[in-house]
Amino acid sequence: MSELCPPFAPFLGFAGVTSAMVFSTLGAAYGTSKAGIGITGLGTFKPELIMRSLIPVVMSGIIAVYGLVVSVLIAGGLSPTVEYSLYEGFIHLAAGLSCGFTGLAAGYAIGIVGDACVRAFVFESKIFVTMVLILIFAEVLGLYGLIVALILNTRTSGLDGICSL
Amino acid sequence: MSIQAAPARITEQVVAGGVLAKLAFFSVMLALGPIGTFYGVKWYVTEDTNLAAIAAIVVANIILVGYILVAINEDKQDQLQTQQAKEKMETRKTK
Repeated sequence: MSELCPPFAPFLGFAGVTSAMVFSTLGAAYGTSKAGIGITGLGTFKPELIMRSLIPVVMSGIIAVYGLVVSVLIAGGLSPTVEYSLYEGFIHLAAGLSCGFTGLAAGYAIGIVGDACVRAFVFESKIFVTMVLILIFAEVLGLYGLIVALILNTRTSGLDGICSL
Repeated sequence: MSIQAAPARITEQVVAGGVLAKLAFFSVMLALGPIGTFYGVKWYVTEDTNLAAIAAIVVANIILVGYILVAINEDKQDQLQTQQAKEKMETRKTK
């Protein structure tokens, strides 16, 4: 094989797939669990507020969906029969890591903010709008990572014939 | 008596508001919507995977906004109901 398409290049691509899914799920899990603790506390006092207080959990789920979409996107570009250059491997790794770690950060923020806001929601119902606003800003962190991953992934097109260069 | 009746009251509230149905609906939508949109766009609309990914993310965010709107609507319904209940109590008292 040429120097531009070494045999270990797919390792980086698959590492990108894994890191996108694993790290964003870690963030989503932390967000869900931390917010869930607060929601359980709220549920013992005011069960009628439960549907509104589940918004942090739904947003954590969206973070995991971001990781899922990027994983599926990257995995769709990997194939044993098509030549795969080291450049593409690095692109896929970067895309996966950027989506994964930003998802981790976003999930962490959603968890802490969700827990605190939901506990305050028991006493003051006007906290709801504040909570949604802060959660949206925390969610957008994961979206930025996803955008970078998508932009990186578009750079893998038009690389035909690079191995024999 | 109120402690024993509390679980029954909570269940009745949950069932009456259809909270469980709404939550189940949104959970299923969040699980199937984005990935279904991704493959749907990829197979039937365009071969460009990046557009399919963007469509999937847009669908996921639409589901999120839908959930927030449903939650806010439920809040307004609750406020309306408590207001009506208060008015009923007051009319009973004046009678």
